[in-house]
Amino acid sequence: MGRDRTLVYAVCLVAAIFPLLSGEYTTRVAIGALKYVVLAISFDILARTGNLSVGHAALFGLGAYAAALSNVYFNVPMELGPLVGGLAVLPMAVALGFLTLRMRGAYFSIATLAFAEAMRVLFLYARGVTLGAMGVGVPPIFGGNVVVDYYVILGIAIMSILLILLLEKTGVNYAFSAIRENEDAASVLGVNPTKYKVLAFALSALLAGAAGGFDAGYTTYVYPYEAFSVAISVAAMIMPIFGGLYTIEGPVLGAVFIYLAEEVLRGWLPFGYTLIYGLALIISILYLPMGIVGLLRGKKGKNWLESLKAVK
Amino acid sequence: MQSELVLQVVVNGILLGGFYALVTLGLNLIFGVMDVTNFAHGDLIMLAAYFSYWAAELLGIDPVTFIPVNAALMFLVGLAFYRAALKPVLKAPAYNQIALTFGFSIFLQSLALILWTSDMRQIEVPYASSVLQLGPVSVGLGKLIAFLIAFGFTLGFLVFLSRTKLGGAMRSVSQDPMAASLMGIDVDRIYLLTSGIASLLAGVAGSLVTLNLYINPFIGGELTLKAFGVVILGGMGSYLGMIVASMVLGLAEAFVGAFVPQGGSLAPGIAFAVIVAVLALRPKGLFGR
Repeated sequence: MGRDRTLVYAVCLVAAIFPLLSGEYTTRVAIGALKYVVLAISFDILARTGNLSVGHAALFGLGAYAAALSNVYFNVPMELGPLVGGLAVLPMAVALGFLTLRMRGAYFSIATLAFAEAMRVLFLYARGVTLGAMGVGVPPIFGGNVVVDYYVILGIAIMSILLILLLEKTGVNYAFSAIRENEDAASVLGVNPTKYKVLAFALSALLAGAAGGFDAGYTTYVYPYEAFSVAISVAAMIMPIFGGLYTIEGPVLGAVFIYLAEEVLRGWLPFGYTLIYGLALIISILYLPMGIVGLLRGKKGKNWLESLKAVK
Repeated sequence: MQSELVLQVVVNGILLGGFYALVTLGLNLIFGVMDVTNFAHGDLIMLAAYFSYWAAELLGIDPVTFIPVNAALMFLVGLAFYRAALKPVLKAPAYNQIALTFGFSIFLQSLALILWTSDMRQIEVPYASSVLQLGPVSVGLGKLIAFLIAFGFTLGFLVFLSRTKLGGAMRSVSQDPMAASLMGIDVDRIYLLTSGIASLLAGVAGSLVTLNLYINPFIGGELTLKAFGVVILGGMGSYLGMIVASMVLGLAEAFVGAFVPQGGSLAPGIAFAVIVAVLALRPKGLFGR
């Protein structure tokens, strides 16, 4: 335990001073990795209720568009983008939560995948409002200062981790697990599945929307093909699975590891570097039931697989 | 004038619907027999489309002539796919099945990106772009051929399923694998062959894709979702429902494409909207049990 704590402090220290030590390129890589840390945690929160989202780009893209369009139409500064993105997606996520409430297993996943694709088609089509495929250009967040950008996304990532800690502290986490393992039994025991599933959806959307709102100002452009791309949904899904679902460190480790691996692979495999995602997912399901975290913690992995038996 | 346009759109929709039925058939078969939702189904079709592209580019073989070879190749791919992607998660929770087949979807897509890059590819098939004039309706020969072949294979498969011994074994495994195994059916072998046949049907669909459309490594995802739309509308595992739903989807896309302003960009979204709307009202599909 003592060693773990030292390690956590060391990681925090490095994260706190990282952009001061490194150049612009590595800071940009770190920003990219932190963006996916937020998305991975967002996916994990929803997954804790037993729902596997294959369309997380929908929440991310809606957040990005909310931030960009509120800047274009109402002059809301991009510095508020993460807040606007997160809060704008929240009511939509509550509606989605109710809509998908009774869907189980593959049906939920298909619906989320279809919803993200539907959003892309809609934002391409409604060009009067969204400017269609041309995309929306916005001024850079904090004048494009990379170091400041780093601390903004680091702040969002830290808040995401604190949110999970809060869920675990308040026991909401147990309600999520109960629903995941057996929804009917959970409701007999007095856990209201509707309440907790909608809550999980809302918190998940808050984070994904904030990441999208940040990304709009960071990249200064929002396009339908990128904001709602399957690649984002895929990353948000695979990173926490590979890292280890339902843990705090899993999504963080998975996001950092896969993002860095992708950066390296992209250099000598410009086409098909996404191979890393396919392989990571296949390996996770076949050999690493608890992801990297399971590997680090030893052979506890089996328990997790057992607990999943009830999901179907 | 208006009625002639409507007739033309109806014909286009039916031709498209017939193709969608074949696209959906393999997905529906694996779901019906194994109770696994295969998120990589469209990527198998994409792979077959590239086989067809290679045969045409490197060997100069016509895509229609190549169908039997492509079907045989994809049958073998289907056998390997069963061992790698389906068998390990047959009895596993839905979570594992979704994640593993989705992993193979990304794997196949990345493989295609490495082999063929993300460029749009097309085979030049001169006769496919010629147009037949049937009274007031004009029909692209390529689309007509694709429809006839898709319809033929769909019908042929349904006859196979209801009339042959192997088809009967597949039906009994889909109803109750335990009882089937007690009756002396080798369930694992039936699963293996089911995956092979589903992939074979994806192979035929892939050949037909190259007859009429541009291909790139990303077409698989869209085909998978269209197939999901069809099964959710028609009922997972139901073949009559699948044919009706394919026609509904094809007609809906044709009508929106023709009559809604800039509907061409909206038409691909119909399947997605159908999925979300139907599942919101009926969480297990329109005819789900």
